[in-house]
Amino acid sequence: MSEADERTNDWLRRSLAGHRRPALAPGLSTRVLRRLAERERERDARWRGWVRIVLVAYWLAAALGTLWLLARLPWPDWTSPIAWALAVAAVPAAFAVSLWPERARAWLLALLRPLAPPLVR
Amino acid sequence: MDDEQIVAGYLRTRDPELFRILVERHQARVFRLVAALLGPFADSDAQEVTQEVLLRAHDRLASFRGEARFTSWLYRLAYNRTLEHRRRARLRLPHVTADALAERETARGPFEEAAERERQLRVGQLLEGLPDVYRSVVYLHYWLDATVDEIAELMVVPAGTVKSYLSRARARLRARAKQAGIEGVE
Repeated sequence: MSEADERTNDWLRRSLAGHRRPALAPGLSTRVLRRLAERERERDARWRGWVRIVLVAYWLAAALGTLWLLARLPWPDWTSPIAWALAVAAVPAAFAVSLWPERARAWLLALLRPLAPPLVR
Repeated sequence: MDDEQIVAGYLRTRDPELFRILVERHQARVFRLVAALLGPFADSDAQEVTQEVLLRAHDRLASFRGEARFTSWLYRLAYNRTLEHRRRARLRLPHVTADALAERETARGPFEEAAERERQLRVGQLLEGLPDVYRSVVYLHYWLDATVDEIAELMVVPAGTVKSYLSRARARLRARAKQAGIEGVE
């Protein structure tokens, strides 16, 4: 190494000596794994949100299609109310249960409460 | 179990404990590389950037084909990711520790202190003006006391190349110091 190199070496060491050397804090791997788990949860939540949007869109399309068909088909008198009841109550309820199970259960309990007090209270 | 086997196992099972083994095995080296790439003047936290690098490595693990060593792949990724981060982050010049400042303030008067700050600023500009690869090896060697072999491993180059980088970096510093009128470099 030349003399100039030696002097540059010394100058570099002196110039950088006053700067704090960073130290790795303990627990880095735990923090990394925690952040990974958080990201996975956020990704799942986003995915569930999209699934819900698609299901709602499908639910609306199916409901509208069913109503459209029901309004046009020549039903016998006694089957018409049953078909309408299925279309406007049972089918949407089935979709709602799959989309919002907790809310559907709460609604069901609220509806059943006046009918069967000892069972649900 | 070697790194490549752990990666394959993790990709197959997604067992977080396997990824933890990889992190614990390489975090110290990745941290040193990240710290050197950010440098003493960077307004960034090396811990935070190291975490980001390891998370990025996790996301890209499937792209590791095992053609090179896992460490080479990881250090290359850390190098690129940290430089990306550095380009976005602002520099704060000069950076002097609180202890060093307190020591200086007691030992020197305000004029000397101002002159020292000015000198630190110019030194910082001089070092930060080096190309990425030269600056990184200079910080690794002179700031973090890394050996040539360690730098070679972290930079994924032969030891001879590291020596050549150091030599060229010193030559550039001398030339620039001369232009900038900084004394003591040569």
